[in-house]
Amino acid sequence: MKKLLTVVLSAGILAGMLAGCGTAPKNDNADTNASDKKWVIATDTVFKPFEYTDNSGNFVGIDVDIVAAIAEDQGFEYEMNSLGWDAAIAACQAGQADGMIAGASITDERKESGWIFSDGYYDATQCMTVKADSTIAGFADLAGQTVAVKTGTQGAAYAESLKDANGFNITYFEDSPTMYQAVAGGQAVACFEDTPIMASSIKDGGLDLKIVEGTENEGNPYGFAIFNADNQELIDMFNAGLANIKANGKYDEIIAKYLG
Amino acid sequence: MVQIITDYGTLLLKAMGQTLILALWGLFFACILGLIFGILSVVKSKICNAISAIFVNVIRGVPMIVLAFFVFFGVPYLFNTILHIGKNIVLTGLQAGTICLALNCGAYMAEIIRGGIQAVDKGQMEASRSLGLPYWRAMQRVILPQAVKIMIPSIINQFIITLKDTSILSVIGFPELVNTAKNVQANTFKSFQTWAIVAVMYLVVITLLSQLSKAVERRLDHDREK
Amino acid sequence: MTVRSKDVKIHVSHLKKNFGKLEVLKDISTDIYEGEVVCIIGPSGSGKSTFLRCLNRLEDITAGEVVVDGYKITDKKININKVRENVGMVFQHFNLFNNLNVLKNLTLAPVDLKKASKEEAKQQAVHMLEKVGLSDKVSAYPSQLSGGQKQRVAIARALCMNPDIMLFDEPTSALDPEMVGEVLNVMKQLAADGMTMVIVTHEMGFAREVADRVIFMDGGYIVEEGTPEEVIKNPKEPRTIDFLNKVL
Repeated sequence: MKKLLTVVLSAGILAGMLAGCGTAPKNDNADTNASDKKWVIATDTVFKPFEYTDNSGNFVGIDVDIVAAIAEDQGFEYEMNSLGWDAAIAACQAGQADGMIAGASITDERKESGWIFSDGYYDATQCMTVKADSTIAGFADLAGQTVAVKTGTQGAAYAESLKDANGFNITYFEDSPTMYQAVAGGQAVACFEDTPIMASSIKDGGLDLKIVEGTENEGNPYGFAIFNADNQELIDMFNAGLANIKANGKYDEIIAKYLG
Repeated sequence: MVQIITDYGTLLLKAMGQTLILALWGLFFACILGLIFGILSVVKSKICNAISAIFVNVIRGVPMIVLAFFVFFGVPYLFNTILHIGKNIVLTGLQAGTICLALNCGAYMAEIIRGGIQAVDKGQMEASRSLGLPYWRAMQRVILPQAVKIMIPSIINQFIITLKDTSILSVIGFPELVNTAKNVQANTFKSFQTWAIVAVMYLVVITLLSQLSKAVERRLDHDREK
Repeated sequence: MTVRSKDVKIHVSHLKKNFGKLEVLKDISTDIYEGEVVCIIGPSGSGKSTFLRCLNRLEDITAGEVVVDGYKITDKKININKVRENVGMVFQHFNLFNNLNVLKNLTLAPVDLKKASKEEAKQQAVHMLEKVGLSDKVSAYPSQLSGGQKQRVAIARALCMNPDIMLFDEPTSALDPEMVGEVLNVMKQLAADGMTMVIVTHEMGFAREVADRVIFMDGGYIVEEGTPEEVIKNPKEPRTIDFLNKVL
């Protein structure tokens, strides 16, 4: 699809030149002149604090700021599309987006499906959260109960790994607010979520929930992902830029801004 | 795609089963609600007509996704936090989903049933009443059997719509086909393959349902010709 | 008019019927006697069908008094279904139950209302079908019958309730001309058997031959009534004369 688009665009520009519009001759081939290409990066709609819309209506978050910092460092142009989790995956596969950054964990199963991940840009641990007045103190207390997770998150994977040994059921929700609401409303007794996100959501959102101590796992890194191997260049730039912003303190600044 | 089928085939089939269970429960109660409100809309009572009209208009005026969130979260909140009635009421995904489908489909069924009853010639009721049959007996023995035949194509259509509407209930975490497919997609990052499999699954079930319904329709027509 | 010495089966006094603001029946008073055959004639819109439908309260009665078989049906508390069991009605458009075969059309009400066991009702239905000449149509569905056959089944259906009174609302108006005779013959037979009958009709020949009394209605009033001889042959009222000139 992307190639088709390139062909159509090139044809359009060629036609424009022939018509004498006065467009300066320029090589529009993305593969040979990367700095001119505007990369399209897809992301989720709400995955606080990685991406969300703030009070003033700006689309912000760790992912958003990291991409901005890396792009500045590497000097590439990009456009961020907040498509939603499912659509972001589909868009990369279809070539409507070049890459996605949406708090996606780097897993073997995803790699086997042909996805290419960058170096991890954030190490998230996951933990179990319950209602503030809950008596649940550990995984063993979950037997026969229902646990809420968000589709596709590492929290979901964590819960799945504990499910059989502890005999609980899992209900999958599409977004974090609904998942929290399910715990607060009693439809589920606990949820599994990234620890920093959970902590900031409880604090900022005034949720009547608490993190159960000692339920944290070892964590998994989040990665930036592409589907089309032709975009390897984008991964390379991302990795190089990530190393640079980690070295110059910009990375810590961003993390502190959202999770401090 | 083969990979998904081998890894997740059983899970997706189970999810299809959940979709069917949800659809059947929803339709069962929708038929009851539809019959009640459909009849309320045709009886000679302004109050009954008004009750039915309010039900139909409210439900038709609220998108099912909103209804789903409202039933799943709002109803327990209303009972437990605001009204403090009884012990802690918690709706499971299946219960909340059934309520949503029953309400939503019930409203449309009520309209179909009203239309069906009104499409039966007025003379049928008059003839029944002239013989001394009470209104409800006439309804039961003469009007409804004829109305049902008129309604069947629309009802089947509504059944199919409702079966597809179960996908909306993925938002309240009920593990039906779409909810499960999103999971498969998230695990594998294979978007099109997953949705292609899901589309085929829906298509197969709905095609079977359509064929079944056509057979039922033919059967009823046949009975009438006999 | 020897029948007048017999019991009054239907007593109507100052009957009024409005449809919204439209006054259809303005002031109707008459008595119908046991065994009497009354034909009601008049132009369309004269209120004759409405009058007939008031006699078993298929139309709500606005004002006045109607007593049928001793039951004051204008009294809201009366069980109208009980009265209707005794008052058969035949409609212009037959109104056979389309979902039921001929036999079930005939047995539905008697069995449902516990007037007869299934077996008794069936025997009676077969008997009634013989009477109207349709024994071979027991298991036919209404859609398979001609108009004339439908109307004869409808008459048989009403008779299966063993009514004391039969009301006919233009029973031959929807029939093809060649089928009118077969229906009128059944009605003549019924009249000969002594059934009390009220018939709204346009069949002047039939009225002249069978009716004990003819009522001419126009504009919501009874304009003229009397024997067929009096009303059809020698009408006195100008409106009756005018109407008969048009239809005869």
